[in-house]
Amino acid sequence: MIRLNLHINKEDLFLFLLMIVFILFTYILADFIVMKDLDRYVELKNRYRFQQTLEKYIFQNREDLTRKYENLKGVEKYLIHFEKGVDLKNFVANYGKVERFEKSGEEMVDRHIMQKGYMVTALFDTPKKYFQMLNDLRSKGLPAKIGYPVEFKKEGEKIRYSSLIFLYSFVERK
Amino acid sequence: MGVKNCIFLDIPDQQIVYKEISDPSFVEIVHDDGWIIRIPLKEINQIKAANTTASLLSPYTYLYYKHKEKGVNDALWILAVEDYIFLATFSDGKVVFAKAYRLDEKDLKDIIEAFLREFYELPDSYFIEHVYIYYVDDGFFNDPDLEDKIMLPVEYEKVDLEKVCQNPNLSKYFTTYKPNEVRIGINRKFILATGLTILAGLILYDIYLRYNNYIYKNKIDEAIKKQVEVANINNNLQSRIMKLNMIKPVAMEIKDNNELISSKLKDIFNIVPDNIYLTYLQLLKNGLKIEGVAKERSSFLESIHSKLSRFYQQSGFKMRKEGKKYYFTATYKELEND
Repeated sequence: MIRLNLHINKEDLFLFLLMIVFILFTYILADFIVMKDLDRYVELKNRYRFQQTLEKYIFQNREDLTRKYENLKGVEKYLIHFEKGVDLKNFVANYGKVERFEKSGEEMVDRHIMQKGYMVTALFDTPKKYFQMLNDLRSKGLPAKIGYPVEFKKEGEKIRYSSLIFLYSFVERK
Repeated sequence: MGVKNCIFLDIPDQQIVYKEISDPSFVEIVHDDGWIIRIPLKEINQIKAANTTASLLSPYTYLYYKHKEKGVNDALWILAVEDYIFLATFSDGKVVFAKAYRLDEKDLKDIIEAFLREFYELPDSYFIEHVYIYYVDDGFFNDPDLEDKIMLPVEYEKVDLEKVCQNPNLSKYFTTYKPNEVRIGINRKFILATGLTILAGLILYDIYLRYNNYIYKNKIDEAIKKQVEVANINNNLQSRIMKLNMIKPVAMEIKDNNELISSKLKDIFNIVPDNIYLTYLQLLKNGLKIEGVAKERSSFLESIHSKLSRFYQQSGFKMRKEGKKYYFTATYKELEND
């Protein structure tokens, strides 16, 4: 029978144990600290790449939207009045004396826009005043459409104007 | 402390050397005077397998002990074990020459002569004056004529193994021998350097990772901040564009309609000459009605009517005279395009 008689040098044994402790320490350092940091590194790197892609997309989107917006700039001045509404009576009063201002029905143009009609009669000093009003309607972007028939009647030195004027605004949402 | 049971290493392969080597396949017995007996481990294992409890003692060690005990330099020391006979010469504790022979090959005289022949050839040999013969087995043949044959005084002595085993001067050579010893033949400096390099590498790598993580985190935070800003701008722009698109058809219609009415009215007002003035104007979608006063009958026809006729077709006309003035009423319809 063979008996295994193993004697190990004490210094070697110490060295061997030291090595094991060192390897264990290295493993703990690697597994609990370095690997964690590495995972985080990979995660952050991927996230950064994702953010870069996202950024590219967002900036591209901004360019596209800006281009679209530039094409719509002519309509821009109307927007605020669609949102806030127009005091038409006061507006007309700037150019002539308002004699009659009556609401004559309203209807939906589409899901978002409402049209309200007003029967307006006003006394203008000259036709020029009336044209000035039309001009300002356009330049200020007021959503007011002159409806047919448009009537002018001479009253002494002045003219009496009367027609339907349609005002447009966004449908108010409850 | 002595050992109860010990035996002599009865094998010829016992090399005498003066320097240790770290070879796990050999067992080395280091003596006080520095010389070493090196024995292959497998030989030891064979003996151990046959007799596991016995401690092993090299015959050369025993002879060395005897040499030290007697303090004689110019002697030949012989130990006969079972199968082999071991011969050695010592000088001040150091082995000069040693050799093992099979006991049954030759007779003792021939063995001694063969040994001495080889010994005397050595440069540091000296004359042998005594021969000490030790034997283990009672059956060892004591040749009474040996002294005459080799012409040297011979002393015989039987080895009392039990005493040998108890002898502390010898038993230390049992204990220091290292059967199956495993030496890890790795340079400690190398281990240390490798370990520290790995550790330093790991730490540096971690520092690198942490630094990069810090940089990436800042970059990401900055990017998110910027993206949120731009995304908000985009959202506002998007909703504005949506609203503008909603109102665009209506706004265009308003603009076109008002411009058309304005230009139609301007056209009419512009064509009225000084000698005519209008008292009433009604603009319809596809026509118009005018009433006015002219100083001459022909002036309306020449001025207003001729000009309106380019775009309109007259559908009614009345004129009456009151005093010197002519009052007219005219209705027009827009010409059908094509």
